[in-house]
Amino acid sequence: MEGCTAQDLDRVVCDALAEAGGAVIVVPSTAPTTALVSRLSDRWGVGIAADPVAFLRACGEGKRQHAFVFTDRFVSAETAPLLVSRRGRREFFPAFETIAVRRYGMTLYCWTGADFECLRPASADRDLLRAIDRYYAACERLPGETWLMRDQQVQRTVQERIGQARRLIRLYQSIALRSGMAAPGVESRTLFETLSQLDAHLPVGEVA
Amino acid sequence: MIEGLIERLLRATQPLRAYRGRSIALERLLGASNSSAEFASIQAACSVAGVPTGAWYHWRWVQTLLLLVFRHAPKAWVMRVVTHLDRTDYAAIAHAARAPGGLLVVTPHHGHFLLSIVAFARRMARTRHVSLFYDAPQDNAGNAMFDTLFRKLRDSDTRVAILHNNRAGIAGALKALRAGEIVVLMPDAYRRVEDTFQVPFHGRARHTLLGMAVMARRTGATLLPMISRAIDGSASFASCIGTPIAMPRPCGDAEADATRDLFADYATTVEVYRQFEQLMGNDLHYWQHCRTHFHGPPALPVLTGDALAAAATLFLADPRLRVELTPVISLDD
Repeated sequence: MEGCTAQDLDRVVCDALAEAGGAVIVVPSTAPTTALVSRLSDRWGVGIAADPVAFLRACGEGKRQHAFVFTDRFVSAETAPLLVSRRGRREFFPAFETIAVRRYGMTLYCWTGADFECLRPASADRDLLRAIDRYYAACERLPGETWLMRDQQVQRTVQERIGQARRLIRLYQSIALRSGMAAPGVESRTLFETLSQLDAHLPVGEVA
Repeated sequence: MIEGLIERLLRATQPLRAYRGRSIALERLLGASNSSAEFASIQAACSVAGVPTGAWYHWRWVQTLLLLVFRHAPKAWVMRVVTHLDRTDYAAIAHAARAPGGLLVVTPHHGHFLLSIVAFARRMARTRHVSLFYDAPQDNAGNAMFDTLFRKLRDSDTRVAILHNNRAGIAGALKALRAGEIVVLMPDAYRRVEDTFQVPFHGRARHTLLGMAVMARRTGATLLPMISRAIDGSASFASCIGTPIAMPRPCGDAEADATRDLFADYATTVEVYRQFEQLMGNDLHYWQHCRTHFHGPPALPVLTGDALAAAATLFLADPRLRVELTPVISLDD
């Protein structure tokens, strides 16, 4: 198995295009799926929601859209801000799909391995997130390096987010320290201390 | 006899230094498999040094051979060979070591740093106690070789001690420095990048802990940067020192100012790395971290006035600096 089959994707695109309120089709980042999406995107005029903010802004302006989305690429603090717990694990999930469905009335077609699940605008937030959870599980079952974004998923873990915050705080503090050496003044000291306060507020000893 | 064999082996492999290119098989053989980024960084280091990449391969071979021999050889033999290979001018070191109070010698993983530390400690231990401070092998597997060699040194000299980088070891190092002893540590290594700050180094930024500066400040010890130079890429070495960095007398609790101290520690660390850079010169391919340095962080900007104020606004608005663990959405039924 290397992701979505051509037949499944073809069928889902036809179904999605019939949704008057617009639809997003969640697919995994694998080489064959990416090639299929590229082909179908050209054939049917279905876009790819690579920039979630721009996509949702267009939705807010009343534009009804049909688009593919590689949800597994949304791993950063900006694109995956929802902390979700299941089976004793905590991870950050993207908010894009939930906003598209719940706020803008779009239909979600979510690849979960064997097929696509369809979730309508009336779906509960948790049901939408459960579908995304099954999507991640299906991605994880893909063999070896087939799932191109496997290594990036660590960025959704609590530990990595805290580590990233600490690394960035230390980087910005280093800039404050270095700048303070060149031109001692209250600005660099204030910046350093404000960053230290942010550091102190980060969760300590968190295990994902 | 073994010394002669080592010298012949190293001489026979000298043509490797002229090799231009990459050999994955050789990297495997030397236990130094590189990623593409690491190899590109080595190429950059060799380019700074003006040598072909073969010079790095040969250097790894020299180190591998010496460490292999030293690991298994009896301690008396190891100490004799280290003395034989040592070309250090100890008059300059003895002069710098005369500074009153403790002496914190800091040396990066450059050249024959292990041999330099062993030779330096043996020489200094004639008149003062010397402690070697580093991560225990159980905390840093790469230090197993250090440990083997340093234990041989400690067992042959009662004035040499080993302090591991843990709570007891740090307390021991502070006590030794306050007592006017010598402590040697390698500041260009760290366990967790989250604990480090960045300082300018060879055109880029280098992650480093500020621990050496904190130790010196707290004890009033003099910091002495030292570099091990490999002579013509051979097994011979010379330890070269920089300018001693004297610390102001530690102030009392009533004058405590954590931010001021951190700025001072950072400035001290920047000075140490500036001296390392000067002492290393262009011989970056002899530095253990040349594999990562040139794909590490870029140079730090120096911002003043409005530019610093504008950057501060951006930094503090960065959403990645805040990790909120509430609310949690539970998907379990």
